Amino acid sequence: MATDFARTATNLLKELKTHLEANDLGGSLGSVGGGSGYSGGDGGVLGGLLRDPGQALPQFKEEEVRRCLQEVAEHYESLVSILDAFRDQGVAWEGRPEVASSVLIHHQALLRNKRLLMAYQNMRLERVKAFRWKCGRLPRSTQEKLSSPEKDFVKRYEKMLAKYQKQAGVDLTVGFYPPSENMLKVRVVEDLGTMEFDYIGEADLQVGTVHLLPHEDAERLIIEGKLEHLAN
Amino acid sequence: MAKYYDVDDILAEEETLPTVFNTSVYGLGRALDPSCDSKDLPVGSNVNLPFWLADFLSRRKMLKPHLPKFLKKKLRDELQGEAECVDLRDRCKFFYELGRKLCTLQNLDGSEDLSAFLLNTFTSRFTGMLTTSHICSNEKRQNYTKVLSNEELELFVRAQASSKAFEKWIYSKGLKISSRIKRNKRKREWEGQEFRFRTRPVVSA
Repeated sequence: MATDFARTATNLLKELKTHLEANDLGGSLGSVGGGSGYSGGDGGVLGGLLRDPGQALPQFKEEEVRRCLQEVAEHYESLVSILDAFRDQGVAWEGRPEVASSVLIHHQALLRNKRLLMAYQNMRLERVKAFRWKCGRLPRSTQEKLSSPEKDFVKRYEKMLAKYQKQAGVDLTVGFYPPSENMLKVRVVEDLGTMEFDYIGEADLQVGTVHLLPHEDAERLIIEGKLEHLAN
Repeated sequence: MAKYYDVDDILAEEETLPTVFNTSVYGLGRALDPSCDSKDLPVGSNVNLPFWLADFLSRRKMLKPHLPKFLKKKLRDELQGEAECVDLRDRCKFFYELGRKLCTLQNLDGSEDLSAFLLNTFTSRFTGMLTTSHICSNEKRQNYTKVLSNEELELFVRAQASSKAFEKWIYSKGLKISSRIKRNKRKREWEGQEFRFRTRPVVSA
């Protein structure tokens, strides 16, 4: 018998909220349309990044979600058994307020659980999307924290974005601020091997080396933390 | 329905309030009230219910809700006296949101002056909040944010962000102008400034 009235789901949501607030992506989430994505002006091109990208999203709580679903199932079973038991007696609802209230309570608890789970899932997906726009692709450590439907979502979202960007011919997730210079001076943080760029041709990007790279290519790599921007 | 996914809205509805049942409830005695001995909940039981359930049942006249502890008379008087220093966060994180929702309940005792009371509390706290958000030490700020309710905290954070943005804008403006002047100067030199300056007096005379 489910006695705690959606307590599990509430805690699930509360935990997620606390975690996401503690690991803010910097700026408001709605910065896609040209908001304060990176606080231009204070230092590098890209300020306000997440300190630890592995913490951008907590682990999907499969066990808790399963428990909530079980609670929903229990409420449903009680509902059906009550309705079955009293339908045979053929009494009008008005005459049996104690049965009516019991049915309503079960039903409300069921709907409440649903709303909480939906909100939990929605909040996670919003974070995944915001992360894609502000910090690039999800790092491997975060990918492992997703449930398999979420992984599917990320895959499809990625595909959709790539397809649209190909049609439009630009990388939509960078360049919210007009660049002040054509080339960026960067230091390589993560070994990327040899890469091809416009204007300068191939560059050998080994850890610790300093390069002048075209703005639009470099910005993406800096956001993903593979290069470090050296401001003058 | 617009707030279906709103997490703050959901959590505000999770706060409990005391209620008295007008009907008995079949088979849920133990679930609603742990101290209940029988299988069914008897009429007139006092039960603490989360707002989302109490709201739904009170609309169907199945129970009578009462004001939650943080809105009881004694604490209200306290708030009327020195609203600014009272720790709302400790009382209820969603003080205003829940209060607003309680106002919509039909058969709630003492709900008549609830909205006026909420408004009063907010206005008397707002001035101090606004001042503190613009000028105060970091230490004081940290202590201060601990007594604000969630709604106030959001306002507070926004006020701080806006004053920061304003400062940034007003100081960066000077920089921008100076750099533009420099560029113009150079441009004039490249365009043959001397030639233009020699001819201009002749034309104007």
